[in-house]
Amino acid sequence: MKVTQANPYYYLLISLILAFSLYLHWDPDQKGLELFFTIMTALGVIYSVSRFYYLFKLESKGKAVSETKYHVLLILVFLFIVIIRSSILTGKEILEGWDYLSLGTTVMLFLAIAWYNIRKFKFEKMGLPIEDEMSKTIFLKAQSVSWTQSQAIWFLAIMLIVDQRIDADTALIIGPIGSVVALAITYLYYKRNGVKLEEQD
Amino acid sequence: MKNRIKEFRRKLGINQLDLARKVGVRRETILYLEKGKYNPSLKLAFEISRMFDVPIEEIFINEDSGDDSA
Repeated sequence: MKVTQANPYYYLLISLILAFSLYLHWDPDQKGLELFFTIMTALGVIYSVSRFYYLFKLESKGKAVSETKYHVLLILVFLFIVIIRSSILTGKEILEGWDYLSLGTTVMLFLAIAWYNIRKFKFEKMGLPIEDEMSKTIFLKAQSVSWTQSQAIWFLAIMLIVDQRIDADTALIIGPIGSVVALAITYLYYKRNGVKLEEQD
Repeated sequence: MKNRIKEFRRKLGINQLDLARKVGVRRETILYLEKGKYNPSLKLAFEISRMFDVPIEEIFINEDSGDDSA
């Protein structure tokens, strides 16, 4: 069994995604398959929160933390259930802004998490770390630059609401998606060009 | 900041992947270092220096600094 280093905040992110899905699709009258999905999502929240707490406690004590493929596989199963239930929901009702946002974001996050984990195990096999000082520097630089861009996107969205060109629901879709796209573009830029923090770039 | 990592690596007869493994970074980081697209942290610079068994100033050359030797 291949053992790799665990990141507690990864489980925090997963628990937030699952909890958000639970909140969006909560209905006390659920039956059958929908009830099954709700129970599975709730189990996913409990599992990822407890795993976050366990890993965080170990890490804060300076102990080595590790995880196996089974932990990652379990998380991917929970996320897959969230996507399936989102698809069923959007298939039943008239598509609304929140449904698009929920489904699109979850699918994107699922793919990103699956891709990250495949790479993680691949890198471990090669004896290399998945994250090192350069990858962290690039990501931090991209985050700091895209934060300013996100401010501009949100400001633009608010101005469009004020001008009554778009409604608040649309702005709440433009804002987060714009921020994610800004981060992705900035990240790819610095990934391609490299980062030299002590020099102008 | 210039560096002679590629030169020392070739002298040692190892590839980027081997060097990356030995200093505990990704191969991409070695590639970017050699291309001059990234400046390493002090810790990594010392790791590389120890790996090649040469003083750090022989590998990394600060182009901005003047000749301070008196």
